[in-house]
Amino acid sequence: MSAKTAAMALAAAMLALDGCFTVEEASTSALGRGVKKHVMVENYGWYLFGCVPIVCGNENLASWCPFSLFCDEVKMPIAYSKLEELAEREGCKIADLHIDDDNEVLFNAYYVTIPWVVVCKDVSISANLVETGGGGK
Amino acid sequence: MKAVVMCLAAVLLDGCATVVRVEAESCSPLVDGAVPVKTVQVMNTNWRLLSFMPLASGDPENPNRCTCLWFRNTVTLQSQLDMLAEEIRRAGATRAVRVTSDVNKERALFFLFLREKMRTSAMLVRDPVKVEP
Repeated sequence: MSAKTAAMALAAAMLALDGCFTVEEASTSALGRGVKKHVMVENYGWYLFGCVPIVCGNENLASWCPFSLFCDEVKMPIAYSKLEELAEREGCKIADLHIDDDNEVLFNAYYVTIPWVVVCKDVSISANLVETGGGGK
Repeated sequence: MKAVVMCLAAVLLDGCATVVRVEAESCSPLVDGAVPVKTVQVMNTNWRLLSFMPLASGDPENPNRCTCLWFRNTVTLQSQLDMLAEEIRRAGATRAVRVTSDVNKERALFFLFLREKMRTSAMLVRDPVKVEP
């Protein structure tokens, strides 16, 4: 493999093996009275052997760098704390909490998996923000 | 050969927006008297190149049809709620309760292509009509 090919492969790997911490908010009248927003907090990242963090989304959303290298931030408590911050900022309470986590192995060919060499971990929490003192159900 | 590959890629790497509806007749009324009408799950998928460049997404304005939008990303929470709002209008319901969402990612050709799938489920209810005394 030439140096140019290796550099291109490395650049593609760096672009693809990324992480991302997102906080999505959406609202519509369909949610009914008292429910201000529907939100989803998600973070994903890549781990070596399922435990050694390589890269993940940066929990500090105000930071200039969207990634965190060698930090284990794909965790439920971290995502939930972001949800709590958002609820407090909006002056709302959290309702209808739904938590989901998923692991995906990178090298998976023809149903023969090279177990846990490089794993993508994904954590997501969705909830409805209910105005304090209002009824959403 | 190139044309065959291009056609296969166009067919396989597409997006899809779907809505699954289930009658909720057996569900008991809610505490505030609202009557369940339907349970729905709204789903939208897309394909991305290298995790960030959108290739194809489902069309949220035409779910359950063989349509997709090219080089656009419509897999967002707001589009999910917009599809839910349309379902409420179609079912004759008043609002949606117990709205939950999750997102799932799959990678193909090692990490070259990323398929993202977002699902939102909810119960559509109809509020009781208030009778003036």
